[in-house]
Amino acid sequence: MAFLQIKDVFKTFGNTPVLRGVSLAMEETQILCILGPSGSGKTTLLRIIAGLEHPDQGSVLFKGRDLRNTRPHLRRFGMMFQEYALFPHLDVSGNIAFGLHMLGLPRSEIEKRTGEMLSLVGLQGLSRRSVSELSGGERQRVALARSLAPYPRLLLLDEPLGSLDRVLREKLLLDLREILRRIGMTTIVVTHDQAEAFAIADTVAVMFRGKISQMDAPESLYRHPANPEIARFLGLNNLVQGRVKNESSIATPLGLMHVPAHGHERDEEVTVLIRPDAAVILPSDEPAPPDANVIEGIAHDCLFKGRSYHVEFRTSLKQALFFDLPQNTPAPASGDRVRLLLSPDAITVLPGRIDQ
Amino acid sequence: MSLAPGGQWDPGAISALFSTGSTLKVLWFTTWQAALSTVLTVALALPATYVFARYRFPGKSLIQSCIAVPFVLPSVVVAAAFSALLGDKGLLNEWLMGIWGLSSPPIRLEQSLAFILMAHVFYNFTVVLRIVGGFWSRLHPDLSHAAQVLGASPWKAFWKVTFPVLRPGIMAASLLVFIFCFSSFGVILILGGPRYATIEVAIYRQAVHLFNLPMAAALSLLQICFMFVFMWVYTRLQRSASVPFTPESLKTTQRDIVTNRDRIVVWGTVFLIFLFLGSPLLALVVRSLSTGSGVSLLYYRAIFENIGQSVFYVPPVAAIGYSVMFALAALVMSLCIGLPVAIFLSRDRGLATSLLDPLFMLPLATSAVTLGFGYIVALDEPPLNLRASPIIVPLAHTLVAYPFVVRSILPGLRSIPEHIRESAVLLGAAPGKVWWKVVAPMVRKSLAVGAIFAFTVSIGEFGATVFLARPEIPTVPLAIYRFLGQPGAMNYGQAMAMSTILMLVTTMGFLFLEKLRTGSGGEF
Repeated sequence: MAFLQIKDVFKTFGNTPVLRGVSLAMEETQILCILGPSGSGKTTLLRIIAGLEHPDQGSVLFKGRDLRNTRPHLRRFGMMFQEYALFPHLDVSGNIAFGLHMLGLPRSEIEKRTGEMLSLVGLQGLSRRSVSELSGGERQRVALARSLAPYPRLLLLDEPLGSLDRVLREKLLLDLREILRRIGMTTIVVTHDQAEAFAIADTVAVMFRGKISQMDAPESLYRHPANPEIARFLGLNNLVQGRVKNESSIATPLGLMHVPAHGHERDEEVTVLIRPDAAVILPSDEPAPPDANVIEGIAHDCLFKGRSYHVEFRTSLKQALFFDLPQNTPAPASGDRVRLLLSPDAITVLPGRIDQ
Repeated sequence: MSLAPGGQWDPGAISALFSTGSTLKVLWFTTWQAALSTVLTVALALPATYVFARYRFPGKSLIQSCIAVPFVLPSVVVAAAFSALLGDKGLLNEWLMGIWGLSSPPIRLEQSLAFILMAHVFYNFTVVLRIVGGFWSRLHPDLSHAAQVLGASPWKAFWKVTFPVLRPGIMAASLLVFIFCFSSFGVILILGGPRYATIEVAIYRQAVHLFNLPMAAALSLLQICFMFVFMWVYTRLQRSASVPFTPESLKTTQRDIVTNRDRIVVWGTVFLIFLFLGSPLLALVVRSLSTGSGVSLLYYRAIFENIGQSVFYVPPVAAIGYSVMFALAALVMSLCIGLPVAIFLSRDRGLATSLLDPLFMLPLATSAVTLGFGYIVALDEPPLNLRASPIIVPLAHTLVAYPFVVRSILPGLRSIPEHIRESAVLLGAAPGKVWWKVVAPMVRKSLAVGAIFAFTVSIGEFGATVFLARPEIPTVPLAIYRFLGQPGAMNYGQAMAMSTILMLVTTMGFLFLEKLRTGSGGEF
């Protein structure tokens, strides 16, 4: 039996369908990230799990028990809100202790646990500070401590780093990941930032237009996105239309690509994904190895990025392809005609047309 | 006056104030009726405030304007309206007697505390709705949700989180309602009858019925002291005890009506509010039209004839004429005083402005009865003997109304950026030209708002007028008060008719004002 199971949840606001049949399951101590563009319904899903919204259809099961009639304050789930929703009339420790007071714990226990939480998030010494005097990062930590203090059975984080600036985000991201793993908290994180999702989660569920499109470990998601839309959302933009020729090659406007095409019919329309980090320049005097995938085009706008060159590569296709070439070979000059040798695992076949 | 009656120092009246138990009784009643009215108003208005703070619905701003109408109605009209609905001769009693065939009215509210309390809630409902609603609609709903996820039931989340954050707003609104009820005059005088007296009513009785001017003066002094303390507390409260929360945009805090439950909550609330606030006013109109011989305009026609010779020296229609004249005079004078004051205050002169601002606003905090009484005492001997002159009425009205004018114009003036004036000067405009060509057009709307304010305040003014108006030159509120005090269906009917007219004039003025104000904004 799954720790948390969501079964076929639908939700409509007015005439706008927000969730259109969401199902997923997760296990204890797992960290699941729901990743999707804004407006995909991920926050609504989180609020339904917390009990702040009611699904029109479908159910949320916790250890097999339907939560339909369990009101939010009886679920013992923790939630961190997008803008943190810290109580402005309470100081830092007042905020953290709120859930402990609701549990009716004795004063000494409350003090002990509040102190524990303050040191967990590294805010010792700020306990009497008013929340209006805190910086963005400190607020985020107070909100995290507040939701962890009552030892929730499940922690829900809504864009936990969303309202922070970039530098702070990267630091807090590591802290958050470290804290969650240390205490083994079962967590669902909602975010629109794929880097954030990959850093925190064991499992990522990609959500588009009120549906889960793919749910997988971060690495497999990145290696094998289920369709062109997901690839694009993950920042993999080198997509080429193709048609299956036989089980080991696909015809594309860039020439024949030698890739295994298991599970695809002959003549099926597919999309070929070329990963940007798996290409090297083939010197002009060197012949292409047999059965290797080589594409030809004009290098454009070569940007030195330290570890690699970011190259815009123009071919006969309408859209340009982008590659990160290793910096140990000389960079092509802008306007040079070059050949790129693609490593075999750099190419993935996705079902369906690109659909701009 | 209270300390030196007859020109000699004699604090006798002050000691008499406290030696007799009656003053303490008046003070006690004034305080606890105000406290009770405040608690009732807040308790009844908070649920409605929640609905207005959390939902978007069609016609909301118009509905909010309508809810504010009772607040601007003259007290005599409110008293007349409640008597028309729930009085012994009121609509409800008439119906119930007709249905059950009773010979005496089943609802006996006249001259009871309940009547007074109802009228006070009726008056001040909008104060709580607006002030607390202003806070509540800016509070993110996630605050309450966060509390719920942390284990607080919705009820507990309200008491532990929403209420404490709203508390400064609730306190401010409560204190204002308390001040208004503490200085309530017309409602208590007319609906309470001889059994009840606030300090205001006691001043009036001492001065007009018993001619005990020293005692009236001593009571006025007491009233002024109390008002001063309350205003001081109010300004302190506004400055200090606020909870610093980030105001959210209405887009995130308010939601549309979606479910049937939302529909019942919103429209049910609106219906109940309109039932409570609308029915007395409707009863007033119905009563003014229903004569012994069916629906007719008899009472309205009677206004134009001088039937009740004993009540008036002039036909009642003359009262309307006087009221309009006084109101126009008050309008002109308030603008003449208010505009320079506003211009003066709009240029920040540091300490002087911060000291003078409350001084200019002092009449706002002083009750009308005290003002009226003060005028009698101050202006009854040379060189300024205006006691017998009709000009004393618009003068008093001006004093009541000009702070409103200042408060209407000031935000408009302050919102004009300095560099707009400067660029006009650099383009060659003389200071006078700058005013007429640049500033005046920009504050035209606020000027109109101030003018209408002055007019409506003057036309409904009762507390000061009752001291100052000469019997042969009555205003409309005075005429209504006298009609209500006379027996007979004809007098009652004419009171209803005149109240209806006054109500319509005030309501129209106010709704027009609301229409102007949206966008230009005013500060109170």
